[in-house]
Amino acid sequence: MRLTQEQIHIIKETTQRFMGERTRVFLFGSRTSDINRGGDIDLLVETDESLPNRIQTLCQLEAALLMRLGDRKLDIVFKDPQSILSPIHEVAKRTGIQL
Amino acid sequence: MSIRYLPEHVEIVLLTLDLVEHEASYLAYTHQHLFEQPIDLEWINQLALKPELAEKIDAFGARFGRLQDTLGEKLLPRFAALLGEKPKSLLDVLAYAERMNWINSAEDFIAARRLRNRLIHEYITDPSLFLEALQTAKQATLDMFAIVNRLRYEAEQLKPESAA
Repeated sequence: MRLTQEQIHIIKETTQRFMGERTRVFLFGSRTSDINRGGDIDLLVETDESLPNRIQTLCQLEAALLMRLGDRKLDIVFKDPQSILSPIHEVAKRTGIQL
Repeated sequence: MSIRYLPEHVEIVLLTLDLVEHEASYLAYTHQHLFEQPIDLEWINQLALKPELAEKIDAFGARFGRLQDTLGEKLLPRFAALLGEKPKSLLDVLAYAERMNWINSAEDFIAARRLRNRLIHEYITDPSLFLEALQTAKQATLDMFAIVNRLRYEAEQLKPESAA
């Protein structure tokens, strides 16, 4: 996995601040490989809580992460009890590494 | 109250402000026509069958994004240059704009930019999330109009440095 300990800490801490303490975060995509270089940060954020406005919370979370990690390519796939699952959820869960 | 500025930058700032106001008026038109109808899950589910509604959303998303780009990548950096500042990255520009009270929050500005990717109806896999994205963008549009108004007000306060 190509994230520093500090980046992992920032991602987990910020995600739990916005989505609740029991939110789980998985890294998937090219950054799970130790061989490649660079690449997007692809995250699956999974929560059991029902948030009042999920999109607003998600966009605020992405903004907070970009402010702390620096402007970079970052994509979040979101899953909560109401989510209608798509193939990307399945790929993210199957190939992702929990942070 | 007057603001000291570098006069050589003023023309480009005012031209960019005109462009931003032009873009804002087009966005206001689409915003008004899109949201004058009650938008609910049933409406979202009809999008695949009603290309004219999908087109409205495309127009809204494009105009929403264009205004954000011109504000964040052109007008705010040029306003900063007017005051002798040269922030390097978008994040630096937004941090400076927040300090100057041109925007309420750099984080909110970036969050609104992130909304754009969620306004693309071809990618709807979860209609209720798409509905939330539209409702959030409805408010974010009004927030952007407030920024445009504030920058117009700032422009009107400008006085040449020698006269300050």
